[in-house]
Amino acid sequence: MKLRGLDEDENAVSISIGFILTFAITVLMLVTILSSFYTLMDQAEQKVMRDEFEIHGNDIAVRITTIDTMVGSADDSGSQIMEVKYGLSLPQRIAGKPYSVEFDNISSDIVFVSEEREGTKVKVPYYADNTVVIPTTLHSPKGEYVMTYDPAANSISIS
Amino acid sequence: MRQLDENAQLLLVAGFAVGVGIVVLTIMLNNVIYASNIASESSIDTSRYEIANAVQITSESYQDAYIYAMETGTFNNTAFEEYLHSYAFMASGNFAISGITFNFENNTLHDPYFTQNGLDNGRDNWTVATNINSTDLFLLELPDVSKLGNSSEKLMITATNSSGLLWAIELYNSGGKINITVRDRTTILGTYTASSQVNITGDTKDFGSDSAAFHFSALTTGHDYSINVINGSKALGYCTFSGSMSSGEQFGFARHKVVDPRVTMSSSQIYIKRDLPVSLPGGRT
Repeated sequence: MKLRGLDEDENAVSISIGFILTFAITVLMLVTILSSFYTLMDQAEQKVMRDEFEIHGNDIAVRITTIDTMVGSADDSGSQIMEVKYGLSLPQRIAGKPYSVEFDNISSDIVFVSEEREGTKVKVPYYADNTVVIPTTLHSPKGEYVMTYDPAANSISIS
Repeated sequence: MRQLDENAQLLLVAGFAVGVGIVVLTIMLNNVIYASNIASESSIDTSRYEIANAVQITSESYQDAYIYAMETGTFNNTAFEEYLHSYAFMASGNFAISGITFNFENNTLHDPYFTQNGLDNGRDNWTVATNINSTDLFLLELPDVSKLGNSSEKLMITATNSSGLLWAIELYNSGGKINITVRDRTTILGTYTASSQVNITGDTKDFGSDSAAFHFSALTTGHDYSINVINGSKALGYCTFSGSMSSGEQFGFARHKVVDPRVTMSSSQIYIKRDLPVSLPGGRT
């Protein structure tokens, strides 16, 4: 009964302030939700990139090891590899962004990174016991690369 | 009336909530589809196995071709070439099915050195076989003594086990003759000269015309040993080893000639060119 009395009491009620408060709260909530979505999307994009980088990194590592094993087994059997050219096809963009691939022969890592963002950085180790991988950095827009074994320098170069 | 209007606002709020929910679901589903559908291109490349196969079957084909060409006792070059030509035709056809081109440049037969691959630039020091239980045949033949090193460049063949040297033979050129020294770990057991051939297990030299005590069986029987070649590039000649391993399996290696063909293979992804020295008849005696 008392509540019914309060409902009818319109003292200190302002429609304008009520609207502004409702509008402000709605805008605040929308901004919060949208920014959460944006963060979520960004994290998902980085995760996709890392997953893709790992797949391609492992593929490259397998190719390096393949050449290295061929050279090693040929050497062990007294044979000699005169020339190897191994094609390497990488997507020009991953998750819509270009990226770079660095071959570090000190740590024996293939380092993928997109737009210098630390969250996208992936290191995939490779193994080369009989050959040396020449350090280089590839930039993804090229798309097609060739891994070449040089018997004179006993090295693998990627370009 | 105002009470009723206020109740309607709940419907509006509920509608708004449903709308936001749909947007959230759409974005999340889209995100899932996006993440799972950027699949990497398939990169399963089997050409590396094809290359390994090609090397193996080419080596074996050369060895088979040599055995086929030697069926009459003397080398029949026409038969040898025909065999290889037939192999090249069939191999290139088979590899073509897998999308691989295969080609090898035939190479003429050479007299072998005692290096690992039989070529003069091959590995000098190498092991012929390990875990040997007994050796039935151990023959060396040096048809051109001028290609044998002098006393400072001796060809040495040793039998060793885990505790060291069991037996060794040293061969060097001394005035156009083969000077032979046989020794164990500490002492020289005998010195001989030969013109071209040494039968170590048969204790004879120069095709049985002379006898010699090489002590090989006496010093190696009962041991699990390896046969090793040292300074292989200092001598040109033929060798034949056969016997049984500790596991009971037979082993055999003979090198009367050597070829060094160049094998070229290419697929959509890989191109490889390699030399392939093959000892003939090799292990397929």
